[in-house]
Amino acid sequence: MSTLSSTTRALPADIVRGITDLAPLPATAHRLMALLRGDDESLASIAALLESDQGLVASLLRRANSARYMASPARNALEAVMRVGTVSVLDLVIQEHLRSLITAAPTYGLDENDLWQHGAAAQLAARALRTERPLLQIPATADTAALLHDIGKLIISRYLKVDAREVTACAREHELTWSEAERRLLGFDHTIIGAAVAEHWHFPADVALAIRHHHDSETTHDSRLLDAVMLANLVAKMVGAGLGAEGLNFGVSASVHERLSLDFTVFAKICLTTQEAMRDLVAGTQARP
Amino acid sequence: MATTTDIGSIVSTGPGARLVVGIAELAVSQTPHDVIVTHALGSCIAVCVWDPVVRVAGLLHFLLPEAKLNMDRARKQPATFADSGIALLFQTAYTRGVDKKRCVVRLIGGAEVAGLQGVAALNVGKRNLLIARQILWQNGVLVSGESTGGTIPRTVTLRASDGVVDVRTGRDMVATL
Repeated sequence: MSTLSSTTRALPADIVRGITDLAPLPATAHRLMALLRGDDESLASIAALLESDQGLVASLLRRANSARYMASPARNALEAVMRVGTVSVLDLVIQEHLRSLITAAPTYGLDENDLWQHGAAAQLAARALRTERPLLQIPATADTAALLHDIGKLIISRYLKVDAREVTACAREHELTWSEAERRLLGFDHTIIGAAVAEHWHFPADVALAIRHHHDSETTHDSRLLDAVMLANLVAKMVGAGLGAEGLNFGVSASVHERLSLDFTVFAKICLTTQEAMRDLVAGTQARP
Repeated sequence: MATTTDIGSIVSTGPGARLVVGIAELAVSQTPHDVIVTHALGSCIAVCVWDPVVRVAGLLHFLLPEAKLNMDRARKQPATFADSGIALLFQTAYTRGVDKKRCVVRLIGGAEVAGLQGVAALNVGKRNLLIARQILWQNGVLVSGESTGGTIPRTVTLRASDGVVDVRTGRDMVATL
């Protein structure tokens, strides 16, 4: 990932500081990633670490004890982790972390809820895609990459005072996509910053690569994870989650559906599954004390 | 305001209100001071109807073109699809005295992803627009105005008092229909 690191070095100091000042991922997330890499980690010790965060344990138990498991509910963090799987727990830890970080992104015409909901919808879409296309063996970390794919928007909005109208006007005047207009105005776009954040948080290289290239119209990277993130972003926009000022003015590989073996019927099914899951997620979030 | 959320629809009968219609929902109002609003229209379509005689306004925000994509979902939430949603919108409006021959109908939304022009497999906006036009035409309903296509997100407000439809993107007015 040397190219990303060299890109990071070329970024304005404010942005680099914005990335490095982001609250670090919780220790649990790093332990879970180590476990996923095959490092010598014990599930029991991770579960013990989780137990120190009661809010997280409550969310984990809620997920583990969803309707299909109601016959024998998980009683503690370890049982819940074993039931939902390491990747789902990692997603949950990152979700909770992002929720604490995310603010509005006015550069993109997104309020706090919009940015959060877009990531959450993309994550649900990636999961729905993996369910629909098991033979493609899309890595489960696609869900995590989809959740994080627009984190760069948070940094840019926080540290650069660029008005959404400026970017919109530039895109309109020069017939550019939103990311292209960002690059013309700023010299970089949110995908570059997002990938730098993923690196800073020590995510696997393929996660950072998917975030970096999710708007590429022509991709030379043969990565199902990248394809999944591209599609997840598309689905999130289709279901109206985080349209922002960008709307549908974004790049995407025109052959992504071929690589993912999708026709319109399956694509529509993924949209419906995502929209329904989002409705439940938002309702659940609003019901929180 | 009476609501029947089991079919994703809102029927206003109370004093003036701002009725917010989500994706796969619809609202019908016969209260003059009501304003019906829907946000986050990308590839989705808002079908706005207004009858100037009985002054009833209705708005449907549908997600996908055809109920056959998921019949179970169409039964539970008909407003998800163009065909089942438009049927439900008019059925609900008829109970308030609307006559389709008098209806002023506007279509808003149906945006397309910039990077997917001409990619049929993923082109929701164009499919949505074509089927909405087709269903209305087959049922003898004239579409009197549209703000459709492009890549912009749209917010729509429909005033029950006079049927005026304002279309905005962010803080900018796009069209008054």
